[in-house]
Amino acid sequence: MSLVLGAFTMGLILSLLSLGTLISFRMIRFTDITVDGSITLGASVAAVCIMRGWNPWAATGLAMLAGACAGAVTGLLHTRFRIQELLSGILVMTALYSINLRIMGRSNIPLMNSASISSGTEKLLNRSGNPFEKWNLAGWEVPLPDIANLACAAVVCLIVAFLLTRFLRTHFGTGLRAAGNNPQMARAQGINPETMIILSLALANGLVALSGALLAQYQGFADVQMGIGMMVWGLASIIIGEALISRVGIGLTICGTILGTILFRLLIAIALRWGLQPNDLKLVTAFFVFAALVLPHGLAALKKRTHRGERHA
Amino acid sequence: MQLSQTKIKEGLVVKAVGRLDASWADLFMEGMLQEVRAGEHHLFIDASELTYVSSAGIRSLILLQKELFTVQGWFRIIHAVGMVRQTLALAGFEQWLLEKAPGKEEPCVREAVTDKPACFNLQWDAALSARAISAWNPWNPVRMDQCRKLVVDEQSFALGIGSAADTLDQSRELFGEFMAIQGCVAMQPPDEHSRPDYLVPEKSFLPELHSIQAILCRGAMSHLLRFSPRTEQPVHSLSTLITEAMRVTEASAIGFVIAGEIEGLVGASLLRSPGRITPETSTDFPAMRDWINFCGERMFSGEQALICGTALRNEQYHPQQGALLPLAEPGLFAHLHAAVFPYQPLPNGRIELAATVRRFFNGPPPRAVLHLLNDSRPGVGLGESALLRGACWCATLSNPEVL
Amino acid sequence: MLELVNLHKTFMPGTANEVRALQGVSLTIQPGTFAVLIGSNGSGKSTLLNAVAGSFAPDAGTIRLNGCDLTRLPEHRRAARIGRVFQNPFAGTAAEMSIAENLALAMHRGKHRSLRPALTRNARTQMADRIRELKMDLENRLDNPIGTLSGGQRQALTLLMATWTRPDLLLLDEHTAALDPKSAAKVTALTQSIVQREKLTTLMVTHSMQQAVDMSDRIIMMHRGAIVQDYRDEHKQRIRIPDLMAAFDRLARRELFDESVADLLKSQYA
Repeated sequence: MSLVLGAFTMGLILSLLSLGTLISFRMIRFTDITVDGSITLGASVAAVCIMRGWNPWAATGLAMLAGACAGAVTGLLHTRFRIQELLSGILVMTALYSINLRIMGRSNIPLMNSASISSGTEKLLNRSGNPFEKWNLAGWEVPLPDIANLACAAVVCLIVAFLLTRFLRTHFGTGLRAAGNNPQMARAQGINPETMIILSLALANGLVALSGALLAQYQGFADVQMGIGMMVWGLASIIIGEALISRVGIGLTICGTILGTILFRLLIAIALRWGLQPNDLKLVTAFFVFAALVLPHGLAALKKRTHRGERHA
Repeated sequence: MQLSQTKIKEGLVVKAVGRLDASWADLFMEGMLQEVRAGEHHLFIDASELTYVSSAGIRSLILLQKELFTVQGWFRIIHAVGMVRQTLALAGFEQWLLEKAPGKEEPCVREAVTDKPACFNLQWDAALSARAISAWNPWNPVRMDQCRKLVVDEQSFALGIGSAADTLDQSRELFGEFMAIQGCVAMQPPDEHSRPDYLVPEKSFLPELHSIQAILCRGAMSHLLRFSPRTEQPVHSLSTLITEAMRVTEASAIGFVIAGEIEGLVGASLLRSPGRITPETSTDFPAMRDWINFCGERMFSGEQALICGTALRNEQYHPQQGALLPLAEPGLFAHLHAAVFPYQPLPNGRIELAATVRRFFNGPPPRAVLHLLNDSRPGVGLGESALLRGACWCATLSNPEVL
Repeated sequence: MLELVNLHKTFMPGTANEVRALQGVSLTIQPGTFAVLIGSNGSGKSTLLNAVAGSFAPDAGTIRLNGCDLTRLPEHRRAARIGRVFQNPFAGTAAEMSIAENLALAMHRGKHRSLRPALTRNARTQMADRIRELKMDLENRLDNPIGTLSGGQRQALTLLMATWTRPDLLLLDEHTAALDPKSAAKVTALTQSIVQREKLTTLMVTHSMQQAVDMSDRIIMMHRGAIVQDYRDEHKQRIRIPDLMAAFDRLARRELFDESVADLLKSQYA
């Protein structure tokens, strides 16, 4: 049960990353690899601030802001200096590696006993005052901090999802989506696609950094390596989400992405339980994304062939 | 529908095999008109293997009859049987249905090839007297005081640059190429958008033209030449036609009018009135392109042209001092203007100049009026204008010295 | 009123592929005029349209619309005043967004894009009313992605979007050329009715002589980056397709008029 609970919490936290990837990859159509750096940036900023005794919420907010800045820089490199999108992402990601080390001062900051955004919730839930209190959840004994973490992650995730849905349905949000869907049309409607790219990347990386900040607090450490392959994870989650909910529509797409991330984490947890080497995880993910990108075409062709066969018979 | 031709003494037998219905009527009509163009004005349509005639077929026969009527031609239908015969009879073709072609229906050689074009003597002592107007020397300003009013009456023809505007002042902007024969005038307004205009004399009205450059010939024509494609000479260039006209009139200076089917015309026409030229105006290349339009290719193939002009054979003639320009043949000089009309057949044999000109001007409007020239540029030159078949009226010029 | 003064544009200057697309084009189009640009390929007609739309900045010259200088404004800043329909029927709409969302974008063309919801009930009623006029049975499909519609339907919607907030100038870039004949006829009729009803100043590029003659108040012919003919007022009224063909023919002949012809005419036209 704690495994499922952990996967859920992890899934909710990482769904923020997936939503960020959704904005950059699906909405504005920008293959943004800055994600790998900005998630670490979020984690490191939050970790350092919490270490210095900041309020965890304030630290998380600052982390988000830092991520937004990183995204905006990528956008500026692409739009103002005409650098290819992938390359501008790589430049910022590479720079962020050093910046993250600078921020943290070393490659790893443990946060084991520090406060986190779930501390307040934990206190609220813990009426007995026993720090090791366990709750009975459908016959399972679950430690209270895990529940507090899950509740916090769920609340943050719900708020973000709600705000994002509302935002994408405003005049500004539709303009942003149009800029990604058809820049020429956006220009003809008086939208500057370049501004929209910068803003979208800021928003996307802000969400990614938020995810990183929560992740650091949940895992209890920030590590300079933690961002590697995160973009692909986000992508895998989006793909699963789209497979779950295929209808277009902003609300459903966002729900799908969140559910996709959670399902993806569950699958990983199960796979690890069954003995998958953690080191192979990224290879498996990469293979999964490859299959998800290629298979739909193969399936469609197969369907057509069998269909034709039926008609012949 | 298949058409096959056999020449007999009385005309041309065209055997039509198949169905004459809406689908085939156009093809049938085209085939028949081609024969009319080639000068076959007496046609026998062999209907022995014609299986069906619809109203569309009847219509094409009526159109063919109309076309032939203008050149005093006719057609008869022979060997019509069964339904075809009935349909044709009911449609009013009864009188033209023959059992068989007259004579022996024996094939003979398609066209008697003579060495020279057919020549008719009209009036052995006829001669033309010429008058020249020269108020403009290209590309200098026009000397407006030397412009003259020209009346082309029924005894004369003229070519030049002028305008039919009421006053000389109005004309200044409107000078363009014209050609006039027996009172009928075709002219090209000097304006990119304008179509050629024309005037036809009515009762007491005779068109008057303010001319800055013109040659007027007055008098009667002495000879008529009829020319058509021959094996050794498929097209007639203007040089060969003029040479031939000089041979029959036994003159070295002639005036002439030609009507005929075009093989290709090479010419130029003004885009802006020379009246606008001031001493400051540049008319050198490339500015010249705004003033005059050059055809750039051999034009108006298959249409009919009315050409009039004067020509001179004189090795000593200096074109810069007169109104004539060198032709392709050395020693031959001429000034020629042409009006282009949509194609209509000309009758065979001896035809009247007045009636022919009237027929052109009473039909659809002219498509162009241009000054003909001999494009002698090495390599890229378009050569000289040429005609396929037609008629040339000519007479000797009594006063070639004015040219 | 659209005023173009001495516009110049050279693409890839100084290279072997140098294209002098606009060579001093000056043009004034009065308000409410439907002007058509015609010309052969590479004559600069589309370049002129793009210059007005703001796809690139001209090398020299001025573009003024109703007295306001647009020359240095980027394309999206001109959108408030200029409506545009492209040749590609898929270029003018965002395929993955719904009909309603696309129309919402057009209703706010060139205005401040706020953080208020784009699709209010009021807006949807307006949309349904306007779309009903198209008679394409789209008013009940407002939430379908626009990518599921045919090219003709999308082009009709693009036209509606381009004219929703009455623009000072409507630009049509061969907007029926890529459609099947039936859709093209429908979009053409729609264009005429909208332009007439709203009295729009319109600049249209077309290859169709028929359209040029039938739809316009004024026909402007371009050749090699310059205006060579300008048929307007009573001159336009007498223009028929053969006249336009003849004008093209004259242009071709003018190309053949080189120095050797000039020399020839000196000796043969005296």
